[in-house]
Amino acid sequence: MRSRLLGDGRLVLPAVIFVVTTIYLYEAFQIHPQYDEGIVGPRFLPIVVSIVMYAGLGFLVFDILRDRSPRPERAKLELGNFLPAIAVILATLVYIAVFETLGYVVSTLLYVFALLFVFKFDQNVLWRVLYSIVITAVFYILFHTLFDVRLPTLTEWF
Amino acid sequence: MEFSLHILGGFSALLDPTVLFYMVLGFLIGTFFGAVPGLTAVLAIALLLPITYSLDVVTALVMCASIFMSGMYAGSITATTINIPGAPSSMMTGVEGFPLMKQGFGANALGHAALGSMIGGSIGAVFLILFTPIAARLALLIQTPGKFSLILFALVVIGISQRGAIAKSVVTTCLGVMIATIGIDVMQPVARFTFGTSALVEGINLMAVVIGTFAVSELLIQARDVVHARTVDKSQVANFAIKRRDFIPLMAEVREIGVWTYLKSTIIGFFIGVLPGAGGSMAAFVAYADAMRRSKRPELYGKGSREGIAAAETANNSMCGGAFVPMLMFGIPGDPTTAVVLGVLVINGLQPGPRLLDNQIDLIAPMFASLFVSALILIPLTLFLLGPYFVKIVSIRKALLYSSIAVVALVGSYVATYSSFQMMLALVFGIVAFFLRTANYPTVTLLLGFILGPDLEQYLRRSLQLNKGDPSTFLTSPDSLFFLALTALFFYFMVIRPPKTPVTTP
Repeated sequence: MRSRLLGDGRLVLPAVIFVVTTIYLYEAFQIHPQYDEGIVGPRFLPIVVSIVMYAGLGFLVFDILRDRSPRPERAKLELGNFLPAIAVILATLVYIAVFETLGYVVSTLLYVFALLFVFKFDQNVLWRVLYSIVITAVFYILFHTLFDVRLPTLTEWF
Repeated sequence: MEFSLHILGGFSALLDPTVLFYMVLGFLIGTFFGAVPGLTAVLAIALLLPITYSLDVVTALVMCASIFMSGMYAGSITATTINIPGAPSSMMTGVEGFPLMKQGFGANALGHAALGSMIGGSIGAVFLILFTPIAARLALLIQTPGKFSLILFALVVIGISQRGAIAKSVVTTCLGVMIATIGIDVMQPVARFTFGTSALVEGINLMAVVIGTFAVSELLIQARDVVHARTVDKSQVANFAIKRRDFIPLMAEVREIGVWTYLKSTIIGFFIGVLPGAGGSMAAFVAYADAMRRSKRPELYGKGSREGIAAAETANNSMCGGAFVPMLMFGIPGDPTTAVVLGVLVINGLQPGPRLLDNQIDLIAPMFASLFVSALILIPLTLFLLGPYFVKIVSIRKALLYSSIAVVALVGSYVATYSSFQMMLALVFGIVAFFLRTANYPTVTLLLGFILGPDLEQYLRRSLQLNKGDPSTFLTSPDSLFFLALTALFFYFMVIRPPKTPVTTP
């Protein structure tokens, strides 16, 4: 019953978007124009978009509640299915956090090694290390040498 | 006359070794991304976007055009050989190509796909060259209220073309427009939705949205679905043996397909490309359905019809030329790939619109030439040289492929402002797009909402300001009324009385 009320998890995303839209709409009312443009000031479109969004969400929720067909097994939201994706998100978060501090080479090396692990690269650790070095080097050459991009380095801290 | 000279100049620009190198490189990248299941030409151009900072604008646009053309064609490779379309636009090619593959005519099917792509792509590029000046003249007639109505038309049509997901496309379009409103207002020096963060005052960079929506979300989806170690199963590769001479379609087969099938599919593909949001899949589908309807041998459809392959592939490659017309002249992308190409233009300081042909045609003409040359020369050449190895090339370890994509995507976002804040934004948009895609929300509408949102707002407010807040200006201005009527017409025929879905296989 609870599952039916939540649309088998399909109402979670509309609910999150509803909250985001409400915060957005509240912020839209906090905008103070520099000069009067009549009805169409800086807050006009955000308010209109919020209203359209609420209408869209309304139709969406109506569709979900009306749809009584069972969801395909693979589409069900189960945390276990999302663990590799969560691992990639965490690895990427750490990568971004240390990218400028550790520099391109060290951070990318660690990041690629972590991704090879998440993507179940079926080689032993030595091969993973080797491929991490190769990928890091290839893109270093691409960005730094070929496209002249200034990449952060660990040595710039010393 | 001057325009023709510029176009000829565009072709001669391709002879520059650097430009030629990047065109061929782009073509090979596009072929790889188009052929590998899960990768798309949009993703390839999205990853290229940061690199355009370092490239000359002509080179970047030439590369984008060759990626677009080859990505559209290359989907047919895996569709035919292993029945997994590399791109959605090759779905119909798979329906006909794979049965031919099983009958031992795989190379022949690939040859017909390449011939169709070659004809459709090159004639589509010629149509683009012919129609762009006409579209430019029409664009000059559109005034501010008309520009608003045109963008509204584009957003509505893109939304309702996501059949079965109209409410979802409304939601994602609105999300895109909401993201676009972050930062300084389009008319007044007022910061909006910054939540007290100075980093958001400048607004959200297009690069972060593009890379997040297309690259990071794909990375997360592949991580979630990581079951197979390779993009193409090794056992399928082992059975693949093809000889080069078998690629060349027989004259009798081409005659049976008929010039009219090629020409009509080209026209269908081009004009579907002009429509906002329609894209290669719809072009291929409509041309395929039309060819099946008037075929002399409809019984072959679904069992290996060369005519079906020719119609679908001709149309989806012809669509490439059509999709550039609204993007270049009105700033309205016809499909996701041209949306990202629009980003390349904007990053390089080019403003789409009729003035583009007057002031910067020398920068645009090589791109037209690249589309033509990619279709006419590079498609058959690539098939002949790499054809026998295609499936082996696209069978790559997912771990290596997606680790590489992750590095290019994130370091690419860093390049935009040399700040890890852009990387963080790309990740955030990637997570948002991942959840949206998981729940089957269209993300292309998010991108188009983001791209078109600022213009929509600007033209709306300017129109109302010029008319003292009177909204009737949208109905009294003839150009605006035309686009509003067109919007109503499309809405009626696509939502209220939608066409019956034709049967795809007999």
